[in-house]
Amino acid sequence: MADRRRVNGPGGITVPPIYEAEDLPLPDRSRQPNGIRAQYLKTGVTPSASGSAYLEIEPQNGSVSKGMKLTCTVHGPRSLPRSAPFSPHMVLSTHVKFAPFATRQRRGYLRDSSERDLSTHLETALRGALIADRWPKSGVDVIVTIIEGDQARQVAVEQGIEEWDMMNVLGGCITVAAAALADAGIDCVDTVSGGVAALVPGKDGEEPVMVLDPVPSEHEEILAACCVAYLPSRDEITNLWLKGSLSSDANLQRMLIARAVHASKGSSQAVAASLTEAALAG
Amino acid sequence: MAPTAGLTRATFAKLSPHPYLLANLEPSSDDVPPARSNGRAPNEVRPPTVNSSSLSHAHGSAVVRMGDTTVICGVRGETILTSNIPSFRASNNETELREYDLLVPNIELATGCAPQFLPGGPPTTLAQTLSTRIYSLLHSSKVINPDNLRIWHTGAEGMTANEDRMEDDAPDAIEGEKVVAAYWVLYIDIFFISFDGNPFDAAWAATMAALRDTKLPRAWYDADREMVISSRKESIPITITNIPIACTAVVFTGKETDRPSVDGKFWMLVDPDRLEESLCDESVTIVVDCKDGDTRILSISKHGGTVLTPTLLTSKQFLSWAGKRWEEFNLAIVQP
Amino acid sequence: MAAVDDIPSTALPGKVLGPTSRFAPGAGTHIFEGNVVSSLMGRVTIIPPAKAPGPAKRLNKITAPTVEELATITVSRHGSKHEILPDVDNIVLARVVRLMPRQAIVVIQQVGETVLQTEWQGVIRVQDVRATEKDKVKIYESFKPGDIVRAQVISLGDQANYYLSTASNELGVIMAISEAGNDMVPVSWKEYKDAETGISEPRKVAKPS
Repeated sequence: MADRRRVNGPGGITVPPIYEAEDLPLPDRSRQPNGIRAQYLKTGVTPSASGSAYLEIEPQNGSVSKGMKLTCTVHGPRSLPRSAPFSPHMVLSTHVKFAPFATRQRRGYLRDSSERDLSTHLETALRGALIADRWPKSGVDVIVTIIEGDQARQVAVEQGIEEWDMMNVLGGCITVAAAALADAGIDCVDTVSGGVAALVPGKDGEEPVMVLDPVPSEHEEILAACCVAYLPSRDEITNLWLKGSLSSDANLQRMLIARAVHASKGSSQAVAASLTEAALAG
Repeated sequence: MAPTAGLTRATFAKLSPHPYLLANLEPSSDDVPPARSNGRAPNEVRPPTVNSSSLSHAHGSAVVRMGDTTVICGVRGETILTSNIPSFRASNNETELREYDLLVPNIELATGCAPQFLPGGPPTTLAQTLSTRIYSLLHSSKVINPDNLRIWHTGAEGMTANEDRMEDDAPDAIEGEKVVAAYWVLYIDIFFISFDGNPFDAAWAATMAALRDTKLPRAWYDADREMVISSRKESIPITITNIPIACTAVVFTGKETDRPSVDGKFWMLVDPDRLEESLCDESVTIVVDCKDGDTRILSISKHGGTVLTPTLLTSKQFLSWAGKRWEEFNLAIVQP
Repeated sequence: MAAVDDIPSTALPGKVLGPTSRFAPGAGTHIFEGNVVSSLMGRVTIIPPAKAPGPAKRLNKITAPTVEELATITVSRHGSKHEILPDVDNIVLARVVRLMPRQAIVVIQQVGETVLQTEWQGVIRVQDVRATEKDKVKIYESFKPGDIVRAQVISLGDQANYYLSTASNELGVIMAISEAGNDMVPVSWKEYKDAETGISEPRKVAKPS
């Protein structure tokens, strides 16, 4: 069904370019297993919003991708729609959307299930940080737009294993949304930040290793991954997303979560430095 | 306004934006130059900045900033076989772009780029109007040469082509003859990151900058696989020789929008911001191309109000302002 | 400001600012595990206790002294817009949008000195228009859509509306436009006059300050 409110293009099927040669040689992970990519954060990119932030995660050397880019706008506190029931606290709603040009495959304008999934995870992550009872009968909208995703691997699309990319995207969403909430002056108990860790097969048949901030295109295979939303000052996790094939060894799961927390601490430090600068400036 | 005594500037601006803007444009003291509420002179634009090629998944991209309006445009090519185009005629080499609908621009405002644009609903009327206006201008301005989008096939020797001829008469070719087997379709997606008025000028400039940045892979038709194959190594830039620029102004009459101005006094505010757009009924957009020194008008559109006269729209002053804007934008787009 | 050497000048949400034994939580902070913790991003301000420790300076004050007065820590963003919610007793400026027989619907534009970014709906019920002769009040003789009203918040109201009152001399219409579309000036406690046409219109007029 064509959406008559947009320009839809030709009626026939169009296909993205199919290349003669296989993918370009993929970059290998050049970071240490416990290294995360550099992050650049800027607040106030959308002045008419209550708060906003832009997050860029540094591209890898030799990678086709130019790094992940996300923007977040926060609108609120605002009055709730007339139809909404009375709420003694602030009602949070989150919305995550990929721009059509953000990923390898062009995405449509309607939200798909992965975007809904991300929105739900983000909502849980932020709800645990928000002091919602400071703002009775009001609402806040958090909108994250992914301008550029990480994904740069054809096989990932073909095999339908995009979910590994989603983990990194979620980590970025959490971090950028927390910065935008801080910019909007909405009370939070802590600056929540996202972190991802993964279990990947070791080189030459060695034992699997755990890496922080995994870029899926840098790994042949990912066995399991974990994304946390972490409150660094309180040492609390507000959202946890773990998937993959882990042995029933509880220790392994605990380790993976601990590594993800470690990754989020790293990103939290980078974000805190940018935010402190913004706080001093205005 | 007598009862406003004792109100701060910010309160006055919020409670009665019309008189506030009027007071700024008609300062009581001669020492104060007339200015808009945003501090700009009536004919002062926000200087544009343009960044190209910042996206890796798009074939071309650009970010355009004008003050607090920021827009990002990504162009992505996909291919369509001529056999999938019902109205395809091999003899058509004039109206391919429009007839086969090869240009697909869409504007997205629902990014929270301003408080009135939140996601959740269908595209707003403004988003739909803007998309349509970009679409029309892309076609009417003829900035894209159709040859850039054609994917050729030279009839292969051997039997494959002969066998196929029975049921499939679209992309098949007589030996050695060059035919168009497929087209590139350009998906032009325009996202507003921040909205502070004048969306059309910004969106159009971003579209032009992104198209100028667009490099499509070299592609050919593979008759055996009946598909278009692209080269990863070679890419061909789209040739954009002319960069027309849109220049928008609004007309402020000093009164609430639904009341006619008494003394016929009005101000033309160029490159309006969000507040000014909400205070003015009448707007005009002129699209010009001033390449090689002479000003060519591609379109003039005027909405609402009855203040602007034909004389004014063709006056030297108006056209020279548009010419200056063209120069400024072209400089920003062309420079690396 | 003594003993504040270890307090940072700026804070982010989650930053520990000091123990509750020494500080009281102000705006932009909360208490967690015995500490005053920032809940906003901004600059830290320490407000010394109203009554300085040591010999009391003002003996004529009759307030009951608390056992121990603490310095209050607040965190706020300087120079940037910060949204606040209307609260009971606040004086607000609101625009009248709609009249109904028993109430006027308004949109709050400013709370105290803060111009709001978002619009909150308020309602002035017929019994809250005037302090005296309440039974004679008619809504359409008190307000017109488009008027700017100074009012006081009397209740947070229901899910949609704040309840406002103009039952005081200083409260009521402060700006009004006539039927002819001209600015009007107040001429009495119940009338505005269009200076150009000379026609008067009834309003609940706020006493000009």
